[in-house]
Amino acid sequence: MTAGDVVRSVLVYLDVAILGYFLIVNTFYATLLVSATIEMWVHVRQVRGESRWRVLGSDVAPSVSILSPAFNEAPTVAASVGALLGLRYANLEVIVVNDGSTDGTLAILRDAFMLEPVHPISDRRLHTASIRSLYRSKLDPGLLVVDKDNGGKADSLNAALDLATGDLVCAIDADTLIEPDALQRMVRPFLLSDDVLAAGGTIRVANDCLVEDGRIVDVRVPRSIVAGLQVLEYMRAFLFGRLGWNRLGGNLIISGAFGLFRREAVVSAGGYTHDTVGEDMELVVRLRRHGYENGTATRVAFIPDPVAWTQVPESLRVLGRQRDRWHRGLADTLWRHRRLMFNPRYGALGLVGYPYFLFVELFAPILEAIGLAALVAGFLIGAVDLSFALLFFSVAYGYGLVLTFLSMLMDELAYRRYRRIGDRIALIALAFLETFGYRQLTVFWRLRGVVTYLRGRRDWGVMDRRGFARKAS
Amino acid sequence: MTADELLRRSIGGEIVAIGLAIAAIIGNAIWTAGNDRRLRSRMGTGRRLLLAAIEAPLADDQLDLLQRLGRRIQIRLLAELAPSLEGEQRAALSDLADRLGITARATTQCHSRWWWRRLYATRVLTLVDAGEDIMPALIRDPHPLVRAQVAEWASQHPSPSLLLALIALLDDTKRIARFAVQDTLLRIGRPSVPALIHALGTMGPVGIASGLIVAARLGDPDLLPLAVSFADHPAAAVRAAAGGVLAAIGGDVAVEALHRLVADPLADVRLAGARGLGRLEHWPSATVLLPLLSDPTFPVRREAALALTAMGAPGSLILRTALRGSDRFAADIAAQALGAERT
Repeated sequence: MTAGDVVRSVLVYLDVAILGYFLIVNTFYATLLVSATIEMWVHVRQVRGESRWRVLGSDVAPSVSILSPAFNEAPTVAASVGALLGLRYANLEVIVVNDGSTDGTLAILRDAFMLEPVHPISDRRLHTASIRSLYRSKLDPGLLVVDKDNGGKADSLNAALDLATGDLVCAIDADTLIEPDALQRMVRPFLLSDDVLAAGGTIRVANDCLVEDGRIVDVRVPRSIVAGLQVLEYMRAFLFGRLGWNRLGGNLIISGAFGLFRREAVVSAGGYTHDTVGEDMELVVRLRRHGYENGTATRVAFIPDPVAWTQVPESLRVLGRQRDRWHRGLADTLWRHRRLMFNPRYGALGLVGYPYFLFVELFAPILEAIGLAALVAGFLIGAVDLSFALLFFSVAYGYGLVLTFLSMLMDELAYRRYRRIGDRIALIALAFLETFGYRQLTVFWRLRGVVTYLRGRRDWGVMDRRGFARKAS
Repeated sequence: MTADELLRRSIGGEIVAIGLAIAAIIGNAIWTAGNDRRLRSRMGTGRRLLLAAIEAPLADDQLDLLQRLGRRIQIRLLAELAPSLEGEQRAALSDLADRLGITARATTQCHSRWWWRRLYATRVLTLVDAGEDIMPALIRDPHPLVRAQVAEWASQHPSPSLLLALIALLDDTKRIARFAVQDTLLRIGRPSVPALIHALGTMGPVGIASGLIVAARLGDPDLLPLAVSFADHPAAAVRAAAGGVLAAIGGDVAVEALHRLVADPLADVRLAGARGLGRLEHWPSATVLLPLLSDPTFPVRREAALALTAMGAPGSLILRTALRGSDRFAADIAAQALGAERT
């Protein structure tokens, strides 16, 4: 057998392996799609005609503490905190953590909310960077401000967790706008089941949407193509992916932009981990794992309602860094919790969720890159029939496109947030661009994430933020 | 079929699916854009008619006009207006819903075998403040959301029998139903107290604890004997919940029961006792709280320290004693509490 024969055989086996992988993954996607459709169907019926004012005004509704880390947010912090205090929920506490800002964030908060020093008693169950002082607002006693040495986002969230008093805690990102009734919607899974440990909702892209008083008042498709492509990505990830996992019991992610957790569970599990770039996912996996190990709540619920809006990167450079970081976070979390793999002790988490995230989410870019490379190599040495290969990849990418359009349709029928016909047409055009071009770029970024993780990189990378478009007065 | 053929057919299927999805998205967008305009105009007409209806019964031609708007718009209009009305105006709205056939249809749907139809029907009946014949029976519906909705409806219809049925739901296995009942009892207020006293005596620990949360917020003196007896209940959750009621009512008898809670072997109960004494600011109890500053559990120490702070000078004296004492846990919590007091 010549070297050429060996290469040909390897390429043929590789093709068969990739075909098998493709079939398994797409069968799972189909299952997720069916599951998401059923979930949406049930959800729409559960909320039809519902009046949420009951939870809003009830003395017995679970209390919620919002944890908001702020580092050098002077230009926006007063408006952001004002918007948080204006959320429609009765038992609400807002804890803002000034994480060693150097731009006068604390001074602005002090002036805007008439802060006065307080000394709450805490057992400091979570170790954090040194806390300098604590303040409570004279204007709104529900606002507590923590001034501490810089320690990063996870450290700030832990400091806030230590002082929080709510039954539930809600961690949010500084560049996130929350829908006024988001908490009423997010509390519902906790009322529906005692087994719910955490809940997340759909996060939408806020770029180029009009904002007034911290609220989105006009939803638009971003003018930037890069941001526009992420509208579709978010739609698919939330409405098809996470919603589908609800029924299958394997949800591992709650977006760091907005998620609700049982406080005691988070504190008992040790709070947020400092030395990872994927602290959101790591926390959810750890909480669920603790739940299984201690016989307590284990379920992560996802509601399809749009609850928060976030700014996404508009340049490929920044987006690449973000995706690189997300993939490193995924790899790190899966490595830390490798004991879950196919472990029946952890139920659906160990038997379905973990293997899926390992083989599909983590390995997909590797296999996709290998597949593309094998296609080119096979074609060059004549081992692969070009027309078959092209057909195969067309089916593979076409399937992704079908999922994107079905997610768009689900969104159109259930929420219809993009109300202009032009916006819908733009999204349809972007869906094609996403499938043929953008998706291959994300494969590259995610692959880079795996490589940088293996090389031991743990930093976040620089993220530029653009701010929200304000409505003209 | 060869692999090539299979792939070609798959692509064909995908193209069809994508085409249908695009057609559905665009079609829905165009339809809803037109519908939005029509809807705005019909909603405007409907609002005018509804506002007229709450002043005086509508004439037949006006009713026909409202009827032609369609059921969904009618219910949407009612949902807009109903929460801000009460008394005669609300009754006028209920009467209108009856004349429009909304009540009859919802009543029929309450018998549906599908939970979502029953749920929607109960929501409509809550909205139009009707359904006295059918709603009480649905309090035992198999679906928790339907039970919760009936509990919400009951806040406007607190008959003695319904109250007893509601209170029985305090130990419902689903939290949403328990929450709805607690909320309804609070909205009903004092009239729910006799039924609460009557029913709690016969319930299990979950129901009692759930009911005592309501009782603590009602703070009615008639609940005192019940709370005192529950302070000695075998279930810790019940004893802790009783602490909340005792603190809400106060008085010597309540304080005596709270002292028993402070000496309880379980931390949650001791915590409830300390919190209760702090809430009452009962300074003669300051010495009772001193041992809790050395409690093995932090939340109890914190609650005791906060209670002492709330008691003013006698509490501060105890805290200062602890600060100078040999127990470092007591000294630590006292230092924190005194720091808080100085601000």
